[in-house]
Amino acid sequence: MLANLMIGFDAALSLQNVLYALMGCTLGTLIGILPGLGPLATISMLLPFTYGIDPLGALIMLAGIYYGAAYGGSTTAILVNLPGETSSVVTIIDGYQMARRGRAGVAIATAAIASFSAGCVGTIVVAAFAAPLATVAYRFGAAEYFSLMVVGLIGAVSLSSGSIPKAIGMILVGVILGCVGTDLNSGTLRFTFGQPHLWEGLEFIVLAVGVFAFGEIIQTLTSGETQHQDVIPADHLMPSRRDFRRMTPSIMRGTAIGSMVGVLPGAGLSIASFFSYALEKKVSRHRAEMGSGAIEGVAGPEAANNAAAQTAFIPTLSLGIPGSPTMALMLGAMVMHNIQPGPRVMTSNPDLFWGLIVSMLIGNLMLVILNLPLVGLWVRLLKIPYRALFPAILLFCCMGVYAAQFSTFDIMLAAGFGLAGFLFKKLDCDPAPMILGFVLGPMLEENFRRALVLSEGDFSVFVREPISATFLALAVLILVLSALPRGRQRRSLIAEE
Amino acid sequence: MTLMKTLLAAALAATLPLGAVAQDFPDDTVTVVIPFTPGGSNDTIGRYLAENLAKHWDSTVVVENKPGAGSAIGSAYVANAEPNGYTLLFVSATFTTNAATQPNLPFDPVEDLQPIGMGAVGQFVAVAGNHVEAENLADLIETAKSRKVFYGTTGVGSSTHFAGALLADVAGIEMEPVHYPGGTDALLDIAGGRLDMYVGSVPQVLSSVQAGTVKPLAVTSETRSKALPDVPTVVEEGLEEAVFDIWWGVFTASGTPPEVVEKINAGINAVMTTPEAEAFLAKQGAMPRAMSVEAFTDHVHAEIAKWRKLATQHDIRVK
Repeated sequence: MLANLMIGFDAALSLQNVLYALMGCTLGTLIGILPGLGPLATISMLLPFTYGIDPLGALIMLAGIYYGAAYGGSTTAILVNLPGETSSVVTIIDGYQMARRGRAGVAIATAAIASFSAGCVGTIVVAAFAAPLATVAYRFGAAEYFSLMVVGLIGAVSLSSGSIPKAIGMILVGVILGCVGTDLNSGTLRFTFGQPHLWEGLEFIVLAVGVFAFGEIIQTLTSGETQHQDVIPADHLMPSRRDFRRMTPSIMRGTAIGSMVGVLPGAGLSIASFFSYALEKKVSRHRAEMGSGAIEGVAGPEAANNAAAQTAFIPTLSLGIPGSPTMALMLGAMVMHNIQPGPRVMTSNPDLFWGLIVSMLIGNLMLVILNLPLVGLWVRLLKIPYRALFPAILLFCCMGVYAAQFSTFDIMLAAGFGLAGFLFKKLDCDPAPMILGFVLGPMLEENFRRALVLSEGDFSVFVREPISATFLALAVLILVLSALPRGRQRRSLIAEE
Repeated sequence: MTLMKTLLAAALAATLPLGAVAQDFPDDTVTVVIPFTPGGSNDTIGRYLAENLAKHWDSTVVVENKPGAGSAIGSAYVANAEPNGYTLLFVSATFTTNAATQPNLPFDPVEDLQPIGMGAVGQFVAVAGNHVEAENLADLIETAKSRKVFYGTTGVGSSTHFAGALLADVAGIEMEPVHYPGGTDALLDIAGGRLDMYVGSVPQVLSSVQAGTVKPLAVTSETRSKALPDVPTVVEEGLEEAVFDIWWGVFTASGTPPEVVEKINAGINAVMTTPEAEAFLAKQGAMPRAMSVEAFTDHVHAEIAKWRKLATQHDIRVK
């Protein structure tokens, strides 16, 4: 593990990659603070601009946005009583109360300290878990990948809110969109409607920017959530010794919960925060104060959601199964850069894998520096009206989509998907399973057919291979569990990510 | 057919005041269309050529990426451009394999585009997994007679598919193609013992050969590879017909005055054969190979005919 981390430090500490981490964290903090602009939309928007940079730099920056947003979100939660991100909903409860009592600075500092320590522990957990997974890498052939994808797609159902039929429907829409273009195995053109622009299939960027970025803009503009609220000023950042004593156990509990929840496919950051808050309410010595400005109510959930943000990379990087829509986008980014996600990533691209993990440590440190002294500056951002913000975002999106293939056709397609994304929201259809279907569907088919070519048409290959059989059994288990009533409750919470 | 076309072009050319046109060429901006996205060997080599043609002619040469439909969109754009030599296509050997597999191309690869010159060539090498009982091509042929051999490709109709199919065809053996999204995936499956062999570009395969996860059988070229000096060629192994080199070349719209075509050809040959160009190409795993307009035209058209035949025999096609 140490040798691996050294590879990572080597890769992540290059000036260029440190700068990408800084850019990602800064941008993440920014969008985290601004309500109505989430990491999902931002990562979609930035994807096309990562074409020109190397895959490691790209992933470092995108990851920085992801966990940076979790930091920034809590600042808004504490000062404005609005969740900058869904993951900081829980922080509002005690964080805003602390702010109203003149302890806004302390609350922000607590959130940063909790996030930092949890982020560091989370990174170490990722490093420790990843190595054993790497040893099975070479045993992953087409049959194993197929079964893994089955688990991923079924897991995607658990990601979605609302009805299971809707989620399955969205996955199928994604799979169909993923089929557009020339079939790898037979050379058949599918759903191209005589349009040569579609021969190579749909660009991931076009779909992601359309559904998430455009969709979110339309949604925000129509919902009227563009007014900003009063901001409580934050001064006096330093927590007292007593504050430190009170937050430490909460941070430790939150980190443990977050690390565990993050690994579960389908669970997200807000689940981790909720669990942690619930636990604090049960076990904390100051539980009576919870809800009226208890520091535990900030420290625990903030630690939990940051630890989860780190450990969510375990299933994404090592198995190729994203735990949340944001992770699905990270997966898409890897595929875009010609990196096949899965256990082989660690052996085929060790500097990428470990570099990304180490960059999270560096990123967490940067976030503390960015968040504490600069808090006043960040808060001023909340005064920019949305009507000034969205045209810039829109233009930026169009540039990005065009840059991917130098094709105006793609911009039109993205606009179409934007409309579709808005409709999905109105119809209460979560688009996350669709993205998963789009990424995983073609891989599922490819591996299914490759496994059968290599086994000369023998279907038993999927259950004969032990790893493959285990995954298929797991898939059945998830199906059964999510059909139970308790599973349904859990799913509606996850959908908030 | 080729002769007819040349005659036709010459006849057309005779009706125009051409001498002056060729002498002044280029007196305007020349556009080099690259039918792929930026990055990758085609783009890198194409940009190098454009940059050096500009110096050579003391003129402006711009690069325009027109990706899509596996090079068909950029190729069709050049095929429909004004036939004056100011719009050039820089494309790889996928031009001839696509011509054989895609029946619905928005242009005719033989009739609509005039081959001008060869920019560079690259070598392929056949590799097998350590689990395959073969140290050379002869062993592989023996193995293939006793059991089914699977070879990896990077998709139906890709260069690697044709290279593998050609080898099987010439050696008179049956091999089953297994399609992968990229060469790295095929190489990993070979290392894992699930796939038997792969014929791919030397730069792509090199690190796996050096790591010992695959063993090289033969270079599918007339000369040995500088990167793999101990590996024999298919010619040495007695399979001259299995030679498969990838190339990058320049085309323009048919009907372009022959003098202009000759002038561009001379320019390409001048800038791509310098020691500096050789060093640059070596980094891309390629090397210079100057060709006359006639030689390159014959090469391209012969390849298209050869791939069309092989595609029919092995049912390699886009439907």
